[in-house]
Amino acid sequence: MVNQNLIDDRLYGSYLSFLLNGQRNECHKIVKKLLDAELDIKDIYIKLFQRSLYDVGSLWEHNKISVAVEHLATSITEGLMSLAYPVIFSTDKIDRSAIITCMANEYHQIGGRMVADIFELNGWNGYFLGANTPYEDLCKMIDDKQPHLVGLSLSVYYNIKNLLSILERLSSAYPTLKIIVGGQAFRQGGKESLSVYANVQYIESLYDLEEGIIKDK
Amino acid sequence: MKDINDVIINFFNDNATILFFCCNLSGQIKYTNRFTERLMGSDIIGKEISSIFVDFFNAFRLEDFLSDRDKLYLLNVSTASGLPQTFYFRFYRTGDSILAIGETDSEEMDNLRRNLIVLNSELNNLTRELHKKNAELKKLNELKNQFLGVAAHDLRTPIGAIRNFSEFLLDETRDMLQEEHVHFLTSIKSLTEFMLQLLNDLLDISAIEAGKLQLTTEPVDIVDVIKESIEITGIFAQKKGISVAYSFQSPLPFVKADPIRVKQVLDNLLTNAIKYSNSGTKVSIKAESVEGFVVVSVEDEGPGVPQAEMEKLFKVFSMTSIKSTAGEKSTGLGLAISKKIIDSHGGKIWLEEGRTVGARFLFSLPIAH
Repeated sequence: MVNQNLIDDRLYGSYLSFLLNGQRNECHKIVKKLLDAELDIKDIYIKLFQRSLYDVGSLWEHNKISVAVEHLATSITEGLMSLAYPVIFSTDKIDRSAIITCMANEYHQIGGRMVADIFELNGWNGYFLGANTPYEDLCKMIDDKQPHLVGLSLSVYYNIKNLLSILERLSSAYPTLKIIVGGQAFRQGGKESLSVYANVQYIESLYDLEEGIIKDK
Repeated sequence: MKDINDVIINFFNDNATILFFCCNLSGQIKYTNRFTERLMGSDIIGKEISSIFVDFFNAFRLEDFLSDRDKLYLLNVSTASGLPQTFYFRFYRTGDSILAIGETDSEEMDNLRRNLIVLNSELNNLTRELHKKNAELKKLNELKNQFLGVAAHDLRTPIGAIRNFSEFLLDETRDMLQEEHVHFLTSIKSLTEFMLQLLNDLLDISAIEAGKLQLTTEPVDIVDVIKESIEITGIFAQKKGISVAYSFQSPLPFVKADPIRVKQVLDNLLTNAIKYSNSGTKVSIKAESVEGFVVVSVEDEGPGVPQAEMEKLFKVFSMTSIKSTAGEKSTGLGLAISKKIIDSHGGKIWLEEGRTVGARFLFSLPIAH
């Protein structure tokens, strides 16, 4: 029986401290230990990776750390996520696929990658196109893969106009395609502007994603 | 002198990679340098200085920064590209103007850092893609092994029956048959024997790759296993006019091994040695104890293995350019299976390098305690 409370405040505090100091190896040890203990990958993603990146973002927003430190923490986290891949990609596949992407001029990709991984973890094919993906490239991928849904991640609020414009074009080009939208940017508002699109759904968290979208199919 | 001052000021204005704002007491920006305009946009003049700092929680109040002239403030500023940057600011009040000067690493360094982040992200995405493809390939390989296993298993019974019937016909009706028909039956028997060997090897490979190779280890006298193997393979050697000799260190400790699987390895090495040897030559088997292991060697006087082909010897379906001396067939799986078996015992199998005549295969097995 795996102890689901392995990520307590003490362990989290150590991890965050290592992350802020760029101590990649120490972070690696913690994540490896949790994976060896067969802790639910989703918990590692949410309670360790997501929580720490939110905290790092908040520290940056308060001018407590520099952009460079924030970027370093993000890079370390992205590297650590690959430790979970042998588990994530070994799940039995179902006939479902999702394309997750960040739009053009959107450079914060880690949230989108987590979403794509959660799809994989649940047996979907989770294609991730990465940061700063041009609209035309997204359309090519949609035509090629014919996904059951497309997910757009928005991290920086000033990109919301760009997002709405993409939603407009996607809804017109693929009227029946289900689109999910989420990301840190919506902490500052903008959810209400999504309500005009019948095929677009806002996803608050990775838990909501799993319960409301993936398992609901 | 005034001209020199102008040159210096203009030089710094054009080239220095610092943010420089001059604003009035209410915080409206009146003047900036070129670097600031490049980074923040040419419409910077007239903006409120508070609007350029990125802080979601605290309202920016210029007076908070004026109390200590020597203090450095770490502040993130929004830029025209949309990506924020970090600078270390000092604030000065001179008469009815306020100067804010922001230092950072060089612009080039910032660009390098940004490019590095983009490259790192791409690398991470490619790593993800690689893991995804690997997982897909692994599943396809498992399917292939399952197919191989089922196909080999189902084919073994009818082919075994053909082999047995051809043997029966050869034994019982040889005197009644024409020479040509005897030749046909002999070919059928020999080919079905090869097919059975191939099917057995395929079953072994699919079991090994599926992680289903089960060893029943016990303390084993390797000399007994070697003698048992020579009993069968020696018949083929005799038919080809090849002598088989053996010598063992005495006493030789027991090894921890699965005797059936180790005999399979020995059968394979001895069969290969005989297969590639000419009449009148010798195959030698030796066994000795070396640092916690018993090392067994099988040596022949055949053509040997070309250096360039040594690397692929233990790989599945790898065939060398060497031809057997009596047209014997090879499945290309025997050495790969042998390697898997010996590896699973915690031993090692290899081919001695640098020989000019013949081949010498060696394997080691851990001594039983």
